[in-house]
Amino acid sequence: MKIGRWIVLLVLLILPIHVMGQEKELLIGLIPEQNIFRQYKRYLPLADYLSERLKRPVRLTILSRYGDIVKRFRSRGMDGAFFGVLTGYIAIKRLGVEPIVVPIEMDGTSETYGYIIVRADSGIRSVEDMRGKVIAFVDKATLRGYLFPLVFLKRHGVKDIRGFFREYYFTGSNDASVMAVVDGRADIGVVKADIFEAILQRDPTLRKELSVIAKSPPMPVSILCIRSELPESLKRTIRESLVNLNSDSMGIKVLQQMRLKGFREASMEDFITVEEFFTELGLELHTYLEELLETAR
Amino acid sequence: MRNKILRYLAIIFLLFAAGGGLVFYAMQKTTSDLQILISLHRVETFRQDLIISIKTVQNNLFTIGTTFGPELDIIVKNVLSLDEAVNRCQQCHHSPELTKRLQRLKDYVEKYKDALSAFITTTANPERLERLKEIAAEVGNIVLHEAEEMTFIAHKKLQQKTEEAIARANKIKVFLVLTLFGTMIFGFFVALTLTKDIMRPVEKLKMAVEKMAAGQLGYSVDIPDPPEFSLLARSFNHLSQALKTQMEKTQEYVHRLRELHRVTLLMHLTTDRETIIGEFISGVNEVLRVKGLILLMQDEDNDLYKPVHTLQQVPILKEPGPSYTEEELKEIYQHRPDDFVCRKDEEVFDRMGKGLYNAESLYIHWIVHTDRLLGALLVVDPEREITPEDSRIMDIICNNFAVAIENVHLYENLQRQMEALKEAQDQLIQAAKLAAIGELAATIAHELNNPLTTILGYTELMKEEEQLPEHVKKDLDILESESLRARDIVRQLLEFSRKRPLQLSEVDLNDTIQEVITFVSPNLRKSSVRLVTEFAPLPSIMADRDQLKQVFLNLINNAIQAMPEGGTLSIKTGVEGHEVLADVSDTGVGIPEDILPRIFEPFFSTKKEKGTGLGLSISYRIVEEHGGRILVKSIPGKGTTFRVLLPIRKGA
Repeated sequence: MKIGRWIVLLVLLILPIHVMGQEKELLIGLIPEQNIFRQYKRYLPLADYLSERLKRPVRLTILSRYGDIVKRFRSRGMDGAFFGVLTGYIAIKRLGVEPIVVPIEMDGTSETYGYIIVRADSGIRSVEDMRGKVIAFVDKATLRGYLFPLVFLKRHGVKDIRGFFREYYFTGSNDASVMAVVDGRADIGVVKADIFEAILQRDPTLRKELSVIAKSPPMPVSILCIRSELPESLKRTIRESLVNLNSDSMGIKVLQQMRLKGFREASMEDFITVEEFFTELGLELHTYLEELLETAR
Repeated sequence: MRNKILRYLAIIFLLFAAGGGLVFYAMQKTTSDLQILISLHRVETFRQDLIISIKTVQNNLFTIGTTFGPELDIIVKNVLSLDEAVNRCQQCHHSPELTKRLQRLKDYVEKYKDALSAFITTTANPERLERLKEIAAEVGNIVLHEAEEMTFIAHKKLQQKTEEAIARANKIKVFLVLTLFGTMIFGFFVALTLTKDIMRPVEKLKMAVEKMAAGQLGYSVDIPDPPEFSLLARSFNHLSQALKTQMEKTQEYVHRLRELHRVTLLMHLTTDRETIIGEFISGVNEVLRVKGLILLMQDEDNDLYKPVHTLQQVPILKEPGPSYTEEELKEIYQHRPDDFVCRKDEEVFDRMGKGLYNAESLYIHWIVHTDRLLGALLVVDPEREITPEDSRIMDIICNNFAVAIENVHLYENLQRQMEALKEAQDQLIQAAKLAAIGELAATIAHELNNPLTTILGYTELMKEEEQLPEHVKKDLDILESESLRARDIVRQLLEFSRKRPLQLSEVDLNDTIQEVITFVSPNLRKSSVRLVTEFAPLPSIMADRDQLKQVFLNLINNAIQAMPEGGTLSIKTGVEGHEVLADVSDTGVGIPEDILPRIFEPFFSTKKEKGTGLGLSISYRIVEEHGGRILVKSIPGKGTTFRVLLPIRKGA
């Protein structure tokens, strides 16, 4: 009897400690900027690292399409996500998330470009050559994968792509767009420069097969935004942990696995291009969002 | 035997080593086979996982976007599981062909992932989406086919490997059983041979031990082979011989101790000097087994040490034997106080062994009591070497002998003293008696003398009367003679009681006795007594000549009276020690033993009317007054001898 009482007492003592140690899970979304499986695997070490630092589980979730980001952010109860510049801008405006950090590439820049690519043997060298071809955009909700080619085409006199291309569609990810061009499922593709470089590194033969015919202005690679409702201390810890990731051995290992140099603090300055493109294309955020929702299946 | 055992052990060791090596090899081989099989089975599991993963993902592909379709995250996880399964397969060691196929599979999986991702993320018209789905499904089928094909090949290989491993294990099992059986057979043979080889000499030794235990000390056993047991047998034989020797020694020692005990006991149980010497000599001979033995003891008269007992197995001693002065023997003793052995060429041999011949060596043991050298024991050519043990035993025997001899001496002295004491006591009693009687007699004599004188006077007066009848005259004569006799008795009484001082002068006892003989010669002739005299030259003594004459007169008269039928009267003189003696012997009737102690008492007489019973009493007193003694020895029917002993004058 006495032993039983002791066991009960011990359980009562340990249980609160255990419950206290189990902080609420932090759910971070990933936009499918490249092959979703690769994207997931790339961010897995970072999630593990943050779990360790924040003393709470950090789980990743893939957002299948850019367009339904706002809806899914809410429905899935996400606490944050690595957004593209456009989706980030939308999320800030519509969900009230806060930009936290921007990844820094291995070459030291935190910005990258958007490319319009074609097969080298396609004969497409100019906008005019694109007429009647099939173009594979990344997603309607991407700056480099959709708004940049629209701006580029508009600057070259194409005001409506529906009559200009034989077909256009959205691959949903940058590497899918590249592979669509490589496989012949599209004549023209749009891709983020860092993803494109990664693809070329994986398969150097593509360097000869593909040609870049247009390049966007530099824009942040991606931006981590988190819910503003989260405790300030948590937000601060997340920001500091990521900004100082390269200052501890575990963090350096994570960066090596992600092929990144580090993270810097994000600000609204990072979204200027979005507003510029919106202005140039004559888009309104509200109407654009509705358009996005329509496009989404 | 040791080499044989070592050889056998070496062979068994080699057999075991071979068996052990074989077992080790078999275990290694079987373990290796098992490891391979386990690996292959694990790989098989991996492949099964792979196929399951592929099928799951394919299933996901066809259900995605439908009500039954899983969440994207689940699809991602399934695809990552597939990816992981492929990577796991690739990590295993494979043949180049399989590695190539695996790489191809991995490439297909990558394509499958791309196709899947493209299908999942693409936003396009339904036809395109359907096409993308078909592409993904097609790639998925290829991946599945590849994986299944590989699984089939691997399964076949696994089966083949398993059969090979079982065959090999069976072979090893047979070989192991054979080796084990062979080793057991050989071990049994070795055990049998060794047991036989060991038990044979052990049985022999056991029998020998039993014989020895049964009393056959010195029993030896012969085991020529194997060398170890031969050595053991030799050791056993040595032991047996040593035990025998030791037992003989012990028996000899016990015998000697028994002899020692017997001799010492006998020496102390007797007071006879000759018996003691005899036992002593016998004991020494038992202990030393001698060729000759001479016991020297001190002669008390002339202080010389002479042989008192000799034992000769061969003649060794020239008669009358050697004698040693106290000085010469003591000098040697002081020089060599312990017992010792001397050889013929040693100087001490000449001194100790004088009078000896046929002797090569002498063992000498002194006989000492309380630092007084009583004698020495000379052992001629002892048959054995004198060991310290012999020496100790001889010490014991000689010491006991010395004590026994000394005891005899003491006993003799004691006996002498007891006799002297008894004699003194007798004399004292006699003297007291004589004094009392003398005093009484003197008083009576004095009182009787006057009436007797008156009777005699009146008797003479009456005799002078002439007219008296004749018979009265005769009566008066009788009266006169009896009165005269009574007066003589009274005079003798007075003489006896009167302590007349001795008139001492230098007297020759022979002359004195001769004078008495001359005086009594008429009586001798009358009694037909033959006189035999044997006068030895005597030193003169200081004595009262007249009183001595009275003594011998009494003795001679008594002797004559003791031989009424005649006989021989022997008178012999001589010297004994510090006294002169004179024996007066008759061949008369003798004195009965019961009255012998009373003959010197006053008025004791066997002669009735013929004596007063004072003669011997007076003689006894006179001799005593001279410091001498009268001894009497009588054999009834054969005769009596009175011995008068008188001290020789000092300085004579």
